[in-house]
Amino acid sequence: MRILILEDTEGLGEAIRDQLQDEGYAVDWVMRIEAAESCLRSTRYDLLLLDLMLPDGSGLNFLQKLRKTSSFLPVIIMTAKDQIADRISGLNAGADDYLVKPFDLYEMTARVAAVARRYSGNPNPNIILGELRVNLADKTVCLKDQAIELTSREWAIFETFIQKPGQLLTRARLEDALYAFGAEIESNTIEVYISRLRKKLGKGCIETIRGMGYRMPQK
Amino acid sequence: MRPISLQKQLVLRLLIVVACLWVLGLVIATMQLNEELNKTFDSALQETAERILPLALVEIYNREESKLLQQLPALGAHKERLTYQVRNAANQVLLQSHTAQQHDFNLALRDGFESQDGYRVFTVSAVQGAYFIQVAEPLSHRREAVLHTLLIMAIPLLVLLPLCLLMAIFLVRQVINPVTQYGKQLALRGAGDLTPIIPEHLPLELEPMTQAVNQLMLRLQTALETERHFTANAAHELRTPLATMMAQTQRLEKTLSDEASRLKAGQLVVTLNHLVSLSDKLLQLAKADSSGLLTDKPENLSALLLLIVDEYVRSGKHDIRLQLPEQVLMACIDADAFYILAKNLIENAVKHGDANESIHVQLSNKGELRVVNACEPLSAEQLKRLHERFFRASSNTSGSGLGLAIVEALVKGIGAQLKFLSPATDSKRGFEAVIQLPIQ
Repeated sequence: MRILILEDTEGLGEAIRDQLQDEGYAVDWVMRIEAAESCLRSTRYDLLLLDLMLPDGSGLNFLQKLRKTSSFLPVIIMTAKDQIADRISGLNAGADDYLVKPFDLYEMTARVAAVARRYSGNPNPNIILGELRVNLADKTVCLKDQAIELTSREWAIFETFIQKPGQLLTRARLEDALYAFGAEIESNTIEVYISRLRKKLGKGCIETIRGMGYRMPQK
Repeated sequence: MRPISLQKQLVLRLLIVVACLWVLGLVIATMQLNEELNKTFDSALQETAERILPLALVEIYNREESKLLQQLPALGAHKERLTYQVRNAANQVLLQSHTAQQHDFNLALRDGFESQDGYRVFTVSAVQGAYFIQVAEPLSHRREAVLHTLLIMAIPLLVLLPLCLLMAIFLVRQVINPVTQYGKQLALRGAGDLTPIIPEHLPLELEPMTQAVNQLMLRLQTALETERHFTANAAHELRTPLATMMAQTQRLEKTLSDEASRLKAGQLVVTLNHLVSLSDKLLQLAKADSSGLLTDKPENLSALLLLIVDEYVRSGKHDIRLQLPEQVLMACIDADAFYILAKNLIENAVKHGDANESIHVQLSNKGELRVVNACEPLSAEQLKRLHERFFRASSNTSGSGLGLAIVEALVKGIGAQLKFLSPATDSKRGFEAVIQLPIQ
């Protein structure tokens, strides 16, 4: 899952970025609206963490503009504005959640996960797909009641699939999910991880659609 | 000392002044009456003497024994008001009216009026001072006449005085009424309503007072606004550095490999959490203690409560059951004040309630907000002390002990009623906070 952070406070943005990266998300962190706009134009993000008071404008206006473009991007506002009127205007502008600073980093990641789940169409962190039982909150996978250990990179790819079962995912989309783990994505990286996942979860867990991408069958 | 009502004062003073003036009038009238009556009676006395004298002299001359006393009998039985006697120069009584014997007028034989032993006597001489007639009239007769007239004059006064009192009450009440209305208008205002008052039909003399009150309200509003801005700004300015500190410390804790250092970083996070919560609570308390918690525009309490509970539900850590009224509940309460109020109650329930049991939040049609959590029942002593600032019922839980004090200050500010119950209604355990909100 690829996340964009728009936060102008250096220490805070850095900590948020590091925390999300630790959780296995691919993260881009920018400090200005202009930079965020250029990121959104070039990359497909799964979530935006948005500060409201930014050096080059209001985060709220940016959100309103974003919502006018009929974007399906989930947005979590994180701000020091704690007045109820601010919350209401934030949520009314199209935010999916509202986090008031200061917040616990673990609560933030829980909220990121919750919003992502809601967007995937299933807010329940427990997903049952055939013989697979997945808990998105705990990041645990069970196959036929047997716990399966996944590395964080494997989980990043697997989570992308599990949140969109039955959907075709391109190689670039999967690469975005791995972006967090550095720049060493080579031409066969995705194949390597998919073959590892097939080995752990069974051959039929991910289908290859030749020339287009991959898909997790909806069982 | 209880202040005396303006109306009572006016009526009382008016009545005293009227009664005094009437009494003064009566006294002056009595004096005048006395003088006039005296003149009239004196004149009558003189006339009588002068009329009787020639007749008496004829009577005396016609007598065989002129020097013998002769008493004239009454023609019919009657009370004699005027008595007379005729004397000669040697002071011998020659003629008397029938009751004159009972009175002994030993006055010097000198022409004119004289008073003696309760009688007014007029003496007049004839035949070159050879004979004198003395006509006497009791002074009590005059006093009676004056008293009688006085009584006749006083009776209407006694009847009119209560009527005067009623009229005074009615008129004073009419004049005072706009002032009373103005007072009521002021008293009926919500604590947050600082708009100028434009009173109707208020006397001209009170205009400077209403202007002063309106100016005071304006100044108060400015001061309140400054205070509110300061609280909001202070909260905002504190939050970002605190957030950075907290996030960096949490990151530090996570990246440290040395167990002892990690423990220290963990403690730092706990302290920071406490600092964040304390600064939050102190700012909330500042808001709660400031007035202006009521607004002119009614807020939708149901929607606000839904938003607050939703925030807790989103965090996924707590099971909160919300029950909202069928109709939309509106109240002129500042949205932030209500938010802080409800949040503190829920936070309290989360902190002190049994972790595995749900918290019930209920808003009734009548504006009763209930927050119930499961826990061991509190003692009466603990319940009583819950209102105190920095008091914590349990030393095991973290917290500043300010949550319920904030709730209490807010409840007072919005004119609501607060009750703490433990055990909760229809239960043997639990804690229940009930607030009766001033709904529209």
